[in-house]
Amino acid sequence: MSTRNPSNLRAVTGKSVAAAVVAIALVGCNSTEDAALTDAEQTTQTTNTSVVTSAPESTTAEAVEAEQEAEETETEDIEVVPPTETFGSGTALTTPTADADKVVEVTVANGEVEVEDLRIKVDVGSTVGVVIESDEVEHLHLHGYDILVDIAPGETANFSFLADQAGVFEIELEESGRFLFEIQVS
Amino acid sequence: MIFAHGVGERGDLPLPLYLFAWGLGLALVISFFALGVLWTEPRLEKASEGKALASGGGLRAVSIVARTIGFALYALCLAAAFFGTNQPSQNLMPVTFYVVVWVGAQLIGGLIGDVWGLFNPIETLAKGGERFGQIIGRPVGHGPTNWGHWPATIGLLIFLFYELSHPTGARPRTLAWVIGAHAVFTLLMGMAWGADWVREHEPFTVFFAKIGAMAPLFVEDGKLRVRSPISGLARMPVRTGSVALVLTAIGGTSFDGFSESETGRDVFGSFFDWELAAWESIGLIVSIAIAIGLYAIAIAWTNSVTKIGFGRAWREFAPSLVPIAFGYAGAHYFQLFSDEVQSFFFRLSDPFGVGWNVLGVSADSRWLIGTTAVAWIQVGAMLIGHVGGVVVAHDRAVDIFPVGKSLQSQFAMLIVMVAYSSLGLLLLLTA
Repeated sequence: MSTRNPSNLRAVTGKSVAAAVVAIALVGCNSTEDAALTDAEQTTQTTNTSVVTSAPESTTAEAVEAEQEAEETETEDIEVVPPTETFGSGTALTTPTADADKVVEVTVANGEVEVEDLRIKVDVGSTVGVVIESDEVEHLHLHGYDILVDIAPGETANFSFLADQAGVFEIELEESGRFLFEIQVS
Repeated sequence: MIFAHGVGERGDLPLPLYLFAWGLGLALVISFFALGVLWTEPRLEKASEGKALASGGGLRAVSIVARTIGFALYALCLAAAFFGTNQPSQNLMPVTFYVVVWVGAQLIGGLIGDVWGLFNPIETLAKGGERFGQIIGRPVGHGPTNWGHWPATIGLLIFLFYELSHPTGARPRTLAWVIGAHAVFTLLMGMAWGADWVREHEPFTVFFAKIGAMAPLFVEDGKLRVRSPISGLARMPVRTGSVALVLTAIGGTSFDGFSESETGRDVFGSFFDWELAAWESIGLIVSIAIAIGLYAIAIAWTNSVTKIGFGRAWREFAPSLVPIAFGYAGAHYFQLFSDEVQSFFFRLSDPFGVGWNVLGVSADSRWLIGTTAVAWIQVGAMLIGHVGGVVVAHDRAVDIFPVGKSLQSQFAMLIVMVAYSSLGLLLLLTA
């Protein structure tokens, strides 16, 4: 799907993702990890479908372009892991995280955080992807944009978002209160 | 480190900081000498009387409603902290405690009036304790009168430890036990010494009342009155420990700014959990010590010029620190407040974090304030805070010192004010 014009895509998907997030939230955060993950995969599928079907309803050229691009990338990225479900009041992109303008990889093992830099700098309007692995059950929280992702040990969680608000935003783990890194959008 | 490890905040974009620092320093020097020429006799004391706005029944009704809301929210937060999700960002307690109460009561308290005093659920709780004591036939005693604000200062220090150093200080369960223990303590103190104890010793109530002393709106003899901003500081009660209380708050805010800066991240980045907490606690203490040290330099100079005694000068100029504490809080926490007050409504709609949406709030309505606007508000807060501090200190000086000495006695205070403001800009705005 498009990374060139994510704001448009975001507008189209915003409602459906919000609906999906509410639906997931209703299932309950405290259900077992396995059940939650299965739910996540299903929801992600549904969300993706709704994007493709709702795009033609829009009459703008960008939307059509986005749809065409979406089809192209779908065939290319067939191996790509779908984004992990997100909670929080913010909206994550449904595009594959690997397609983001900037992808940050984080590993947390034995209490040590491994990340390329404590402050990642990106431009306003770019897309940022986060790929994280942790050896403990955790919840990643991106402040400001308010995106929450559950992390299961031994599995890779990933999400991406549109960095359309300037500022410096912290990303931390909620269980241990551990600071991972911050993203400076300018 | 992270504001309370989980409530979170976003920093600002880099500013041409040196310009602001010079501007602020210049504004302080100009206002200092302008005051020397134009402000030759004390004025704040008279202005602090203010004039009556409303009285009687209306105020009483507002007070009852506010106390009811305050106590209901307090009870709901405690319930959420004990029984809701233990994720900080999904529970009502952390955002209410650290943002709405701690930051909100300072910002609104300094700008408008002591809003914590209006809602104060702790006093309601203590009144309950007092009533219960009377019912079971236990006479209400009197607490010691010579402790001043030291108990409140120690309480504030404990709060700052949980806010800035404790490894899980933002976890709902941690807060549940700490605030639960505080509630039990409040009930017992209410039984033993009566509800007046809260106004004299309870850390939040005492500190927010200090900040509220600079606000234009205040209540006296059951009447709502209005006065010039900061004039109320002329009659702010100063007791032993008052200076330490305000400087502890200033030191705490400074330390929060430092630990979020890139330098701070480098210093504390390699520690985790209790090891991190230990280093951060040391940092907090050092930060408070620096704030106290700077004030001590100014007071030592004042004493050397006027010979009024170090201890007396120490207390006389305590009110001039309040606008600085307010300025620091505004500069450092305004953005957090603007962003997270919205989270508060999301959390209020789902206090236990189980997926409710009682208030029907929509994620689409979330709005993050622009960083340019924030930068100006921060600089404005620092300007108001420090010019306010200079004005209050000057007013005290012309009141207690002869004309020739008053300006001279404040030279070191001026330098310290410039130091506080430059330090504040450096620590609080760079993030």
